[in-house]
Amino acid sequence: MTPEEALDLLPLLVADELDPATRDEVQAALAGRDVDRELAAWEELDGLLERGLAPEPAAVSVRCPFCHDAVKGEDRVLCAACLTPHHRACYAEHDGCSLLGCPGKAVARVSSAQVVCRSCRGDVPEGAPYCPWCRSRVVPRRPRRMGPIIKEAAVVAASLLLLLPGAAAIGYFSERELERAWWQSHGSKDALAEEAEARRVLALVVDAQKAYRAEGAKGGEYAADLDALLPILDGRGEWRKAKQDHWIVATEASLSRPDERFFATVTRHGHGVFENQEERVSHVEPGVSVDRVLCRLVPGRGPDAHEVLVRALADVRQRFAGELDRSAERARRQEELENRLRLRMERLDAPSLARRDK
Amino acid sequence: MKPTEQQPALSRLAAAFVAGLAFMAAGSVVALATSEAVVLHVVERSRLLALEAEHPALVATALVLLGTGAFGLTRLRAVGRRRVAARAAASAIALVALVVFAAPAIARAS
Repeated sequence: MTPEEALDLLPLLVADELDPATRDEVQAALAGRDVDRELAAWEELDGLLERGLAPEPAAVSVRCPFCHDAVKGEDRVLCAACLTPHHRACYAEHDGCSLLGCPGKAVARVSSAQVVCRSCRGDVPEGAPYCPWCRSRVVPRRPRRMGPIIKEAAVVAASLLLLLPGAAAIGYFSERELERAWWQSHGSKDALAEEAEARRVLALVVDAQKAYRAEGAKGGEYAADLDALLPILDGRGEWRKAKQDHWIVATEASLSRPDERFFATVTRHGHGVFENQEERVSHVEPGVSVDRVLCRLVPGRGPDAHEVLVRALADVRQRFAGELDRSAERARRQEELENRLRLRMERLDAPSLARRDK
Repeated sequence: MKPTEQQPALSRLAAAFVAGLAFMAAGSVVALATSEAVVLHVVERSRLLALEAEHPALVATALVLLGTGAFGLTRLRAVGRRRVAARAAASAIALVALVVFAAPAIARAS
């Protein structure tokens, strides 16, 4: 059914003259169309027609059949049998409906009425076939049309679409801002405290290595691993106080010059490597740790640990290469200095030697 | 018949506020989920924060649904006890959203 055909059937729909199948088709065809105004106009016309065409009630009127005064206000009742309005007092005094021939003794509950008359807007008891006030026929209330529901849903959806991104963005950026502020105030403190502790642990290991060599336990060489230093370290109070499960400490004597050099490294998983190169604790690279047994850098648990390891090793090689270069430069300068000194000495000594020769 | 009650503007504002609060909490959960390792420092201090960090998508989706529900609840054309229940539910949703939003800050401060 097209919407135009459905619009043509609108008067019949309002008058409830359609069979259920056709009514459903008409409602489906009109779903989403704004026909509220036309429906209201047709309903009003239908109500007027029904009121005009309805047979004039012979026995029922809006006057109390007991006292013949007008029935107004709240203090009124309807006979449950014939729906004739009465004054409450009159109904009680007559002990039932005063309409001739009506056996009604009970009162219809107007307060629980669920229907409003379309013609006179009066309250109608649920299930009553006609309005007790204007006598027009009461059409059962139909389910609510879909148009307003769709409109309401669209308004809600639009509101949510406007509200959701804005509020989520506010939450996102405020949380990030809180985190940044916290990290600025606490994160740096933690890093400093960690670095200070790494320095202390490193200093302890360096002292222990020196003490080990001084003892001459291995012919004046530095210790090959940390286990050899443990008897010395365990005697130090600071070592016992340090969080030993917090750090991974590795140390070893130099392979080429075990009596002159040693290496020591302090590591914390996920927080980088601290080492004692060039008399300072340096933060090598996060995600790299030191294998305590093999005494070498190994990747951490991060997803790009391999890359980090490669970069860290390249960094170490570069640093060692620089040190070698510096050593060569130092040796060259030393040699040059010695040559100059020797020449000067020779020059200084030449006259004295000549005088002595004379 | 009781006429249909018009929804007051204040009720609509309250609905938008509660829904916005829940959506804001959802945004903060997403921020936590995509944050740097910083949150790992405090995640152990709170079970709620651990849940947020472990299942961020679930928590954020639940908050969005709760916010939408709150928006719908306070638009409900209901009377009496049902309206009171709807208001109580909206208040509970607002409380949950506030707790989820404030949990990381509380964990950091402790």
